[in-house]
Amino acid sequence: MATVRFEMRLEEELKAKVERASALTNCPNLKAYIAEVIEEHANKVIAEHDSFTLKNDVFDSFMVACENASAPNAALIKAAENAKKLGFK
Amino acid sequence: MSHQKEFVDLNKSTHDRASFDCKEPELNTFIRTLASKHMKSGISKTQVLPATISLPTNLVPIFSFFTVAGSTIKRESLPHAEGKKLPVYPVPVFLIAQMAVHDTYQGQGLGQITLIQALKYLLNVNEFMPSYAVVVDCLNGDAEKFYLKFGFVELCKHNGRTRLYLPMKAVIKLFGES
Repeated sequence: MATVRFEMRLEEELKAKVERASALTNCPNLKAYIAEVIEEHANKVIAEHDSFTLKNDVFDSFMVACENASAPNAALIKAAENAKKLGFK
Repeated sequence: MSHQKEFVDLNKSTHDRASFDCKEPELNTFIRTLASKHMKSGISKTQVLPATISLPTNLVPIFSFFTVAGSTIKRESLPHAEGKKLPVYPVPVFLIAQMAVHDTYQGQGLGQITLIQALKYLLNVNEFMPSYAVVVDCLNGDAEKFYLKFGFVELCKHNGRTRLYLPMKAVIKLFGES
């Protein structure tokens, strides 16, 4: 895989701590450790953003409601008509 | 000042993000500093309603905006296979992640128009990325009242906010009949 260069400065204390943590894991070196940690964190943040979980009963009634959706309510229909009247496409 | 009749993709070199003020710090910060970044990294897409004139800076003021994104909903655990035809996989939904009207132009029905145009935008996306519902997290009680009025239904509480949804089928009917 192609790689890019990424440089950053760390506070001395943090670097020492990261080195210690890195030594306690199976990572071959500090760089590998940092790359692994940021990837793990990025995956977690993205997964949390991209999906959410519902309790079983809530999920089931949500699905049923989506399958048997009723018509839009009067207020929403009126709003759509207003937008159209004002020239919105 | 009047607005155009069409929402367009946010463009930081033509739209005046700094002057946008809806009196909600979270939404102001979003449109001023994050929306463009999120678009660039594919997290969400923001469309704005621009004014018909530009400022001396050559930037065009923003009347309102909406931000949409894709998401998925998972079931806590897989259902028993007792003839239920409910899907077991995560189901796709749309999020209205952000929506706001400039303070100066509130009270003229622009919120409704912004919602309608956001739904219309999602209807188009739905053509090639079908989804079950439009989901929105309400920032406060007023936002909640606004969406409930237009037929959104409570789904759950999420990070202390009420999460509502409107089935995509209702959106399809809305524009199919008009």
